[in-house]
Amino acid sequence: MMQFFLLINRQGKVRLAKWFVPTPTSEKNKIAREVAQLVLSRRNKMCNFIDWKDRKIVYRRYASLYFITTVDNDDNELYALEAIHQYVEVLDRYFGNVCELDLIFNFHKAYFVLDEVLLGGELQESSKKAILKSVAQQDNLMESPEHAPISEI
Amino acid sequence: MDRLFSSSTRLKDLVRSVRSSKTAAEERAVIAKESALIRTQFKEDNADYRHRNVAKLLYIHMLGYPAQWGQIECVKLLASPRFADKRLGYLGITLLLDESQEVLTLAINSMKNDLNSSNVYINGLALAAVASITSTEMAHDLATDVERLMGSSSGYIRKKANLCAVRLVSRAPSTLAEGFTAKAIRYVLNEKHHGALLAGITLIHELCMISPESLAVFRSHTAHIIRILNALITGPPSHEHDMDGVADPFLQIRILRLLRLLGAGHPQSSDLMGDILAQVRACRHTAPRPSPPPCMVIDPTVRTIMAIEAEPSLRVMAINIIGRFLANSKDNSTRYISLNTLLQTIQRDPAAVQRHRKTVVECLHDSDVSIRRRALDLTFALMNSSNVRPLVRELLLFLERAEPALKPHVITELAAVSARYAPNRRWHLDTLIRVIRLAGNYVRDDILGEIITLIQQSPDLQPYAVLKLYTALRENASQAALVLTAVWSIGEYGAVLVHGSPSFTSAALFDDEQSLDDGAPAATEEARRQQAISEQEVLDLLEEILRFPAVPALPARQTIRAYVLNTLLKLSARFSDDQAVQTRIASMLDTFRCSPNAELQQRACEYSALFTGDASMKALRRELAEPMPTPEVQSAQPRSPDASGIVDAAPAVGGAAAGGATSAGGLLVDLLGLDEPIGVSSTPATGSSGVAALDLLSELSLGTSTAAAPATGAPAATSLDALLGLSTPATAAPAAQPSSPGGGAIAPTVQAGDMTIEPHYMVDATDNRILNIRLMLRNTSAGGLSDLKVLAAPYRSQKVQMRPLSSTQLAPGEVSPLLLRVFCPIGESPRLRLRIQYNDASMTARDVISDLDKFPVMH
Repeated sequence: MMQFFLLINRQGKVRLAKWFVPTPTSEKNKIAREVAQLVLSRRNKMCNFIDWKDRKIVYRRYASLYFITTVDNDDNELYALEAIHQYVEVLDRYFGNVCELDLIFNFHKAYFVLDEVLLGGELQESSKKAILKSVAQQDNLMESPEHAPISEI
Repeated sequence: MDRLFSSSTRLKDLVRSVRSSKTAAEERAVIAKESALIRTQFKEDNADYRHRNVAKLLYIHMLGYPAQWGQIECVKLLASPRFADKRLGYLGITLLLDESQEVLTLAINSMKNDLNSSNVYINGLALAAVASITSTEMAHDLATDVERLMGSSSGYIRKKANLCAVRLVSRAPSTLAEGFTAKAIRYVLNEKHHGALLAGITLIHELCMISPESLAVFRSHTAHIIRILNALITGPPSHEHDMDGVADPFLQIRILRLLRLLGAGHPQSSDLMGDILAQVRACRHTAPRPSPPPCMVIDPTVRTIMAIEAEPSLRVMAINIIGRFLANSKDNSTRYISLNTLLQTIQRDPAAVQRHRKTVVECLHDSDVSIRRRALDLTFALMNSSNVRPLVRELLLFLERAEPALKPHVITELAAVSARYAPNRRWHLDTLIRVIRLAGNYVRDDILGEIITLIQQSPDLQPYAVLKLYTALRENASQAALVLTAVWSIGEYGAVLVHGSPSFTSAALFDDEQSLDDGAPAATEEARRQQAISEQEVLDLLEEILRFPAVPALPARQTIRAYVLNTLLKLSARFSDDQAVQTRIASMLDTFRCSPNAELQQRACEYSALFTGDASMKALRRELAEPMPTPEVQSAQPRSPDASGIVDAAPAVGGAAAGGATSAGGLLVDLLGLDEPIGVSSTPATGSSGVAALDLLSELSLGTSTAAAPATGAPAATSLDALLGLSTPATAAPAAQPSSPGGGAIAPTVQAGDMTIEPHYMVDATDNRILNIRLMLRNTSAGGLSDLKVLAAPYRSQKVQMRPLSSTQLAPGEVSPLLLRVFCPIGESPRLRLRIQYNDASMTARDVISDLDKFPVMH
């Protein structure tokens, strides 16, 4: 299973951080910094995996953003890599040609989409269509009078 | 500005003002102001803006500012009937809470209600949150709700419930595994929804991992699971789930992983899998993506084939596919995966993996550290006595270029494999000397001890070794381990170096044509060019090192100086009585009588006192500097050759494993005060004996000739020898190792069948979450035990690595060490369950379970 899912930009700024294993906040920040440093120091042609502690970091870069997760040592790295790709494709379709700004101003939506892709550190759906459908339906639900927030975000 | 931060500040306004902050201080001010505002509104219990405020708070949290104070507001949002509030509230608690926080108990009620809601999306939110932050207590409370949702009519809910169940059973395996196993059989095996099936297979895998009973149950369903995979592969294509013509690769991979577990060590299940696994075909690497889906599925298939009891032909095919991947792929990710798979399969079929040796070795010199790391582990795993020469040559090249962090690991492993597979001692020595020449500043003390012990144990090689080390030292004195070894050897074998020895002819020395080391010809040349090395030349070199050690680290410099002082004392006895030589040695010692370093000063003063003229002192020097007795031949205990041992080779465990064999040299190092700071008082290993020796020496320096202890005098001689670095490791070893041979502490002894287990443990020096444990298994029965096998299982949140037993036999009263390494989160104490299987004296098979849980809490 994945321990966390992290999205950082090239400057190492965290754009999304989801933890699937209970971890104290200070530890979360420390790990995020450490992992960001490792990933950002890698050159383009290098592989998408880094041995890290007793786990493996799996990361992938899309334009200025790095999507990072870790897997257990005996788990399948390509599976995690494709799961990252799955999330990115869904984000892209959801926002329509997603860019970093979309994710900054709508960070909560990025989390909502992620929650339909991963659950408890495991991939929950192999169909992008199904993921987009469930996100859209929940968004619709939020529009209905009895479920909409009192104050707009 | 004030208006901007009024109660109606929207999230996007906050984001904008943060982004427009020019400096970090400005950003902090914006956040502080906004936080204060939100806090006030929270205090007023303003429900109108709660949603917006929590959203802003989460943004603040993501920027790394404190936001824990808003947890309660998130819990309040959960209780709201509005979906929008719940959605944000759940996001909030998963980001801000973890299971250790009491606020969580306040949220449980809302979560329970939401699990029972009639709205599937509200169910879904609660399931995701439960999976993220569940505690053991919550797992019990919510298990029945999750079990019920596993049978929901909505595929959307079933998939979330299945994955939520994965987390619940991993929290409370003993109590929940049985119930969830029953549900999984009922719902998952007949699942048609892709997502729910994917999640369900993940659940089954987890159940099989944590419970042997569940594993047995699901093994009886192996045929069914294979049918699911078969239907997936051969069924009609599904546009929604397929990728590049491959049927739902995610699902395939998860099923393959489950099959691996079901088939491992179980021939009946494995037989059923042969046909479907044989369908693997290599894919071409034309796709632009790093992991084209066809390749994605092949690797797990190969791993499954290698893990289960598959037919040999199938295995060879599998390894060849991976070998081709490795050789043909330009893509680093694929190469990494291939190396990793080879590494994991090498134990099953070493011969097949050996065929790809050349490619593996090429990867050692890749520019990507991830690839190099894998190739390194694999190279060590590939090592055997027939390929040790070429592989070690490659590894030495690797060592030269390796990044500093990796060097100690490489050195430890190189020392282990060269001890294990050395074709002869000469080669072994050459290799070790090469290592300390290349990376002498990264060599751990125990390796240094190993080298010195090796030299001591090989009288025929001593002339060669000292000449070679001397030559190497002249070329480069910047590698600490090389300097120490060379200086020590010069002291010990200085006479041979200068005068030659009867058995020492260059013809006898340099005949090992196959020697890997290019230093050998250089040494030969050196020897030829320079017919003899003069005593003054040796002293020149030592003086330079004494004055200006070229080693970067200060503690190492002081240690080197201490070694040189010892060597000088020894040389005064080894070299000729030429007045010039003796005076020079005395004056070199003299310069350190005022050293600011107490240890060096003390040595210099005491040794200088031995040069005070009269003949009795000279005789005493001779006696003190007698050649070190050769330690008993304890052929260096080679470390585990198996892949796991090498992959996980932990420096500290390596040290402990070699401890027995290398304590000789290690002790020497100890006694010479390699520990920092230098000082006899700070080397507790020598303890009182060291102090006694000092007393003795001070008496000696006063000229009490009666105290000239004969070398045979038991305790006094030992301590005296020890102080002078002349110790006999065999006799001195017990003194230096107090209660536990590996150092550290001892947990209560446990009785297990016919043996007692005495756990010695020590927290790893490099990582305080790792406990290195040495179990001393003692046969307490009257008869011998055979076919001894030990399995260790850690507590759920912990991991354990175990080295193989050195022997499967245990004679009556015999003690056998077993080394383990437990990775344990801070705040927990390591807990292990051992399963010990053996045949007792009457050849009756015994199977004993023993719990080791008396270790301290890791902190």
